[in-house]
Amino acid sequence: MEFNEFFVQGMALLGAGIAMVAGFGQGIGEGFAAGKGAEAVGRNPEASGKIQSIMVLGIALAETTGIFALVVAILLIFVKG
Amino acid sequence: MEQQVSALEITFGSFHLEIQQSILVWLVLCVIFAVFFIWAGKKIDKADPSKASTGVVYVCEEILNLVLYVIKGNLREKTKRYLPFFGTLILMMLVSNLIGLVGLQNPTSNVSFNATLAVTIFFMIQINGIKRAGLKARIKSLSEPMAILLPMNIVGEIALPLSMTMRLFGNILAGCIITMLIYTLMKSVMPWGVLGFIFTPFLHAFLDIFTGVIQTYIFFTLGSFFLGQQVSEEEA
Repeated sequence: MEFNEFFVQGMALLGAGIAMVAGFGQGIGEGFAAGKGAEAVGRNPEASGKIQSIMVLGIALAETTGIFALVVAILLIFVKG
Repeated sequence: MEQQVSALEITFGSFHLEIQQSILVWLVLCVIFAVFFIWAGKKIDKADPSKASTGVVYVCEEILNLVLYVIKGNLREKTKRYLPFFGTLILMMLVSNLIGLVGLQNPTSNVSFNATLAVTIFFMIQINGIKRAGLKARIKSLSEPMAILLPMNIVGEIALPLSMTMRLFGNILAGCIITMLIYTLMKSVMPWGVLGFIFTPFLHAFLDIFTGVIQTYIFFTLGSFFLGQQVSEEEA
């Protein structure tokens, strides 16, 4: 079998698509954090400002894994694609 | 990225240097900030503290409050010592993230900007950690709960600048690419592409303003949190 440049390009783009499967876990994690935040505000509405800032911080931290996958996908597209 | 929007190329004999647009924007921002704050500092010196502040003095006070909001809870009694460092960088990164709104390329979408900041903060954390109780105590605190976990803890420490760099870089670059794609699509279907102007304000609001501000907040909250663990003796 011959590995020409189009094969490499196609495989790189395919790999970029597969890398973004990581968005699955990220979505679940962020949704869970947001749901718990809403629950906390419902239980204690006076602390909503503090809860909101902690929730946003947690969500952005949970986003990291998804962002790693995104960087890998972008590298695959623009370097090999 | 292979095609930068525009780049300055300097050729001097055999010496060839290409400065990308993001870095140029950054350098221009540095000059603007330096001039602005020297001017504002003179104004603040002249201002009368007994009266309510107006104009540029008021703007500077609000900037100070913003910076204190981010770092004060983490650095506690050492806030004043590290205020100039964090204040400059927070303002710098905030403007860098928001400058995509005027059509320039964000300096933060270039990995060298982010890596520089993250590595600076990493070295600050480590040097302060060693200074506080000596090298031996620092290694001891890393080899907890048992000595065999020392390599794992060192990897954990090195992961901090890496994750800080990649988080900011990925977020801002993704925003850049998505807006660029939408504008390219609008251009290629032009008679109907005018409809795209309905969607682009929302895209900019989310990708530039929301993501930019949140990522600045996250970056410096994390940085000052880990620095505060090393320099601050007071309990939170």
